[in-house]
Amino acid sequence: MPLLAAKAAFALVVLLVGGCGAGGWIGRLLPDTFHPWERAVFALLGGLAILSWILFLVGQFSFTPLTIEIILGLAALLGIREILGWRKVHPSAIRPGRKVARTAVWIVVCVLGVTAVGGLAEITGDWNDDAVAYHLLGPKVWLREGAIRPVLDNSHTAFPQIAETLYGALLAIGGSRAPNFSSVLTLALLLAVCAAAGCRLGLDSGESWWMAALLATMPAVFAGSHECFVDGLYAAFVIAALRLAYDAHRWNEWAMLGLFCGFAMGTKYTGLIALPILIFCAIALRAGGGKTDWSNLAGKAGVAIGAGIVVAAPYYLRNWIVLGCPIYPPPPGYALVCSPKFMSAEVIANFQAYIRRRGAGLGRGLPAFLLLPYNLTYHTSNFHGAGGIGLCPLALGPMGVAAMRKNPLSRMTMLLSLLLTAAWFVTQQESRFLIPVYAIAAIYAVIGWRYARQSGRVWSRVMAATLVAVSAGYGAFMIGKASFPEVRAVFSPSYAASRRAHELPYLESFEYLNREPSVRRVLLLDGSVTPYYFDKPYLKPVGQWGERTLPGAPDAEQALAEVRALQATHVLDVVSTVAPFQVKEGAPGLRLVFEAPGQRVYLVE
Amino acid sequence: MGLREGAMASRKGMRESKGSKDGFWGLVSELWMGIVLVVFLAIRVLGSETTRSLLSRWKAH
Repeated sequence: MPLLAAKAAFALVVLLVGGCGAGGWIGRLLPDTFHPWERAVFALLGGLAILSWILFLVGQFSFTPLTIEIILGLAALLGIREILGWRKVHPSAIRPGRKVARTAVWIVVCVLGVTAVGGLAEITGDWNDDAVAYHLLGPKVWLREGAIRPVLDNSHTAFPQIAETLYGALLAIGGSRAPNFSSVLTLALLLAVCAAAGCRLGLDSGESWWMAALLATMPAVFAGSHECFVDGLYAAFVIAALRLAYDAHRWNEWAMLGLFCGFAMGTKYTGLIALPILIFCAIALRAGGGKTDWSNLAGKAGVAIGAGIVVAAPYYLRNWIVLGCPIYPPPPGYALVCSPKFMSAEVIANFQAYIRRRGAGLGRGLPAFLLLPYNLTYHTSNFHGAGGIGLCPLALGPMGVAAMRKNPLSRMTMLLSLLLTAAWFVTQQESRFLIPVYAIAAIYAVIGWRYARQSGRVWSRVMAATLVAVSAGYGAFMIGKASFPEVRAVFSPSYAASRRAHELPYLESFEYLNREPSVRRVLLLDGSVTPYYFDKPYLKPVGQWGERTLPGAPDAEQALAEVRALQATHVLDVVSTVAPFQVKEGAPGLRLVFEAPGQRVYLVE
Repeated sequence: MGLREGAMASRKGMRESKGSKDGFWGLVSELWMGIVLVVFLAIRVLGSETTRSLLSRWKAH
């Protein structure tokens, strides 16, 4: 474990320094109102995305450890120069926090500590675990094949890939634990970017720390920001764009706004909805009164949209060329625009029906929308969250909104929250997809807390402090409880082994196939088998969502009949929730060479 | 107020927001915070499996 941890930490430091190098120019193009620490945070966040973007473009031709090391090495050299330059500025620029914020600092440090330590545990899980099913499957296969291509047996590997490309780089130089370990950096960046937005709305240093503490202890935010989930990183890009929208004035500042919108689109499809909303809100902030120069405003908005499209285009164009559709799996109405490959119309319809069912939350009507604040606070598990968002947004947020009702930046922020929530409500009500709004809610909760403190009423102060304590305490408890198995697995090898045996499906077969030198290519018959655990080339004729990956779109039975033509050396057959054993006893040309409960491996003779 | 002036006034405005000192809105906010806290305690503590099992054991006893 110490060696694995050291490798992961080394890779993360290289990525961090490389991110500073790739994003140094971003820090210099930000509006004048940006504090030096904000410039450093935005440079690092943007730099990581730029680095990923370059790796993705180069990776279309070569994604080998050597290519990755060269690109990261060059970026790290630039980063060292950049950091040495920051060193002269930062000590004087850091504002001293208030005494009371020490508790908040400790809360943030503890949550980040749990994220870092838990991130060193081995990722385990079945096909329901997103990290295993596709976030890490793609990078692992890219590295094996030496190029970035969607893994056809899981269409989700075609999602926009800013985060996944970074995971690939981390896997290459830091080993299997590095991608999950990197969650500590993305969560810290999310908190820092939200603190930047909060400061612009008027929070002081201590209040920013409390905002970060409230956000970090929201279990729904934690759930979307670790174990290779990309929602935390996506939210960081959206909030960064919001911070830029407050102050973008010159053309290059609008381009920066568009750049971060583009990063959001390059991380999640939901960024496609966030871009128009962010640009609309940025325009709305500047509109009004008789002095609005509409042509100038339209031009700057055009620059922002153009910058966003340029940044996000590679991910969507690649899908269009390789998979036949820029958004893949295709959304409703795709037939008007494109003809997707590898997924039949029936499979696509089934997938869309699944998304509608999963994203229904607690209903779609107006009453359900109006009840969202209540349900998101008390019943987040219904939105596939992990325990809620704490009490403060509901209890203190309204006071913050009321206190800031005349502030133009606040009005624009509220409009953005409303539009993002409405878009989320009518599309897919998955709690972690709404992290940008949770971040804004945390800012208003702290403003509301200030309102209660300054009211001069003893009970208001006591109630508000109790709410913050209960909310942060309960959230921290839930996060600690959820992370306990990972943290325990890091310190207890025997527990890690039993967790591996318990949570890693078909472990015995994977261990056999990975160690057996005669295994060169394996035919996986069952759609639920997770190839992430497999270290060698494989064929999976029917994917997790019903994708048909082989020429002629054969099903598992037809592929089995052509196993020699497919040049597979072995066949893995399992009993799963999807199907029983598929190879009939005495099947010609197949010899049983390994068997474990519910698992059989055949040699192709 | 233009954009720049409005944006610059943000922090100043926050510093000057002293909260409501009049009794009515103070009372409303206290009541609201109390309701949120009580509902949370009712759902998370009284509604928890542990409490339910303790209650059912007590009833059976």
